[in-house]
Parts: sequence; C-alpha cells; structure tokens
Amino acid sequence: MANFFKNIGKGIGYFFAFPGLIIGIAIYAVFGLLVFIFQFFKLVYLFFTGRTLFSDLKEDIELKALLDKNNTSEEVENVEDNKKEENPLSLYPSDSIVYGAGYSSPIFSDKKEESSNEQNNKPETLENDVQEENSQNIEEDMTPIEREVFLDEEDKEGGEM
Amino acid sequence: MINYLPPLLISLSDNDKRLIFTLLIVIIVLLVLIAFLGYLLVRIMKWQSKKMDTLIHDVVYYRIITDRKHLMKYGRAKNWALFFKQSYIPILIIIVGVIILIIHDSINDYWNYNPFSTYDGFGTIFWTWKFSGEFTGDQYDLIRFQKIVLDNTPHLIDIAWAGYIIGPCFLVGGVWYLISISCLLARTVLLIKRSREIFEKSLDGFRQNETNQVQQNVNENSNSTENPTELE
Repeated sequence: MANFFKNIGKGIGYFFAFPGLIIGIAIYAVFGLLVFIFQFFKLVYLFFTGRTLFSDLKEDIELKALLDKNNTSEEVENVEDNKKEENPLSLYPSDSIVYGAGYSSPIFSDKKEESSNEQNNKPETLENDVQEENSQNIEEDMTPIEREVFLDEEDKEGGEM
Repeated sequence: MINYLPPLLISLSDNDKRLIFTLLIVIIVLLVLIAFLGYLLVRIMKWQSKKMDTLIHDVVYYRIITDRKHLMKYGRAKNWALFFKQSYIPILIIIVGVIILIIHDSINDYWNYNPFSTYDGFGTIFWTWKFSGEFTGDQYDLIRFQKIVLDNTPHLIDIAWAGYIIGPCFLVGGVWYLISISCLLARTVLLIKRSREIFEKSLDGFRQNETNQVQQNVNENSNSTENPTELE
C-alpha cells in the first residue's frame, strides 16, 4: 500500500516536473542544433586532414602509449620469470632448448620411464646379491660331505639350464 | 432567496454529471500518460549519463587528465562527438521531410501547406475533435462547456500524399532528436558533476594542530631536501 502511494506521489511529481523538463529540453534542442552544425563543419575539416570526428584525441593516444608500455614491460617480466623457472625444473637442458621453455620432449618421458625401471630393477639385483651372499655363508657352514652333495646338485641344475 | 444564490445551490443534471465523470477520466489518463513519459525520459537520461563515465573513465583512472578544466574539455569533445553520432539519423530524416515539403510546395506553387492538416495532410488519418462549438447550458449554470464536435474520421485522400510522408518524418525525427538531446543534457550534467567530484579536495574533519604526523613528515622532507648528504 505504501508503495502504491509512493508511485502516485512520483506520478504527480513527474506530472508537475514534465512540462519544465520539456521546456528545458526544447531550449537545449536549439543549442544541440548549433552543436550539430559545428560538429558537421568540424567533420568536413577533419575529413580533408585524413581524420574523423571519432578518431582518438591527444589524451587517448597518450593513454594507449602508456598501456602499450605497461603491456610490453609485463611481457618482458613474464618471459624473464619463465626463464628463471625453467632451469630448476628441467633435468635435461637440451629438451628445453629444442622444445622451448615449459615443454618436455617425448625422449624426456622415455628417459623418466627408463630411470623408473632401473629403480624397479635395483631391488631385484640387491636381492640376488643377498641370496648369493647367503649361499656363500651356507657353503662355509657346511661339512665337507654336505658341500660335495650341494655342489653336485648345483652342477645338475646348471646342466639342465 | 434561493434564486439569488444560483452558483452555490445549483443542482447538476444527468448530462453535467456525465460530462464531469468523462472529464475526470480524461484528466486521470493524461496524468498517467505524462507521468509515464516523464518516468521514461528520466530513465533514458540516467542510462545515458552512465555513458559519460565510460567515456572519461580511462583517462582519469590512469591520470592522463589531472585537472578540472582539462577534463571538461576532453569530456565535452567526446560528448559532442557521441551526440553527433546519435543525432545524425533523426536530423537526416527531418531534412528528407523538409526536402519533400519544398518539392510539394514548389510543384503546387502553394507555400502555406500544412503537412499536419486534417483536410489535405497527415491529420486525415486520425480522429480529430473541434473544441470551438456552441456553449451548453443557460446563464445560471455553474459549469459551462463548449460543445465538442467530431471534426474528422480517418480516411485516405490523394492530395494528402505529401503529408503522409512528411508527417511521420517530422514526428519520428523530432522525437528521436529530442531523445538524443535529452541524452546530451544528461551526459553534460554528469560531466559537470564528475569534474567537481573527481578533483575535489576535502578538509572535513581536518585539524591542523592535531595532525602532528603530517607536520613531521613535512619537516623531514624539507630537511632531506636541504641536506641531501645526510641521507647518504
């Protein structure tokens, strides 16, 4: 209900303000016509000087120059940052030279896989070594007869292989 | 006695009541219509004034412009260029209307032609009423209205061909131009407001004797400029 009365009040306000507004606009319309004529002649003049009415003003050119300068300095900073970040990450510097900063070659990934395989194989070899050491210890602990039997069995297994 | 006070004790006839009721409805409709138009105009002006902010934002934000006069000059140039862009179409429409009017008048050799006439102009396609009819009621009636007479019913006529082109041209172009003028006015008002606000220096709440820190800074700066070797 309050909104309704508020709208009615606004309506009455607009009703009384509207004629004044129209008179103001009508007076300004004459001024606007003069502005239009002035702008038209300016447009013609600018046309013959190779510009338009909507081309950049002196301030716009200054602003563009400033923004371009900022953008280029930001780009340089970004490139420098990338270079700084490149070295600690690249294990194979040749990759970054060939493929550019931040990119890894397929070789890089293969090498990584190979290195991981090597890491996987490494415990196996250790186990073999441990087994060999254990077998040597066993031989030392054996009596001479047991040692002969053990060696015979090993020879048989080697012959089968 | 009663006959001597006719204006106070008058009794309204059914016809008068009907007339009063009709007038009330007309006034209410007019009120609503004008209020709506005013509201629409104000909304358009508010919307257009925002464009001025867009036009001057960057140069102010990046401090290319640092004083009021410079901002007014820059804003005015931008505002007028935008006004030209917005208003050249309605002005072209009006110019086309004027050219057709001149051609029509020169062909018929009749230079007093009214393109909105209800006889041979754009008005022939509208209902029009004449408000200059006879008076109703006698001399003791409180309310005296002129008789409203229907003057024209919509019809097409050959001789009004120019009016059918010129009338819409003037109406469309005129309303369009007035809207662009109101936009120019709104942007100008906002430009003046912004040029005052942006470079405003306020001393609200400032007490010179209470701000010792500021004074210290000023003194330090002056000392450093006088004896630059001290800093080194």
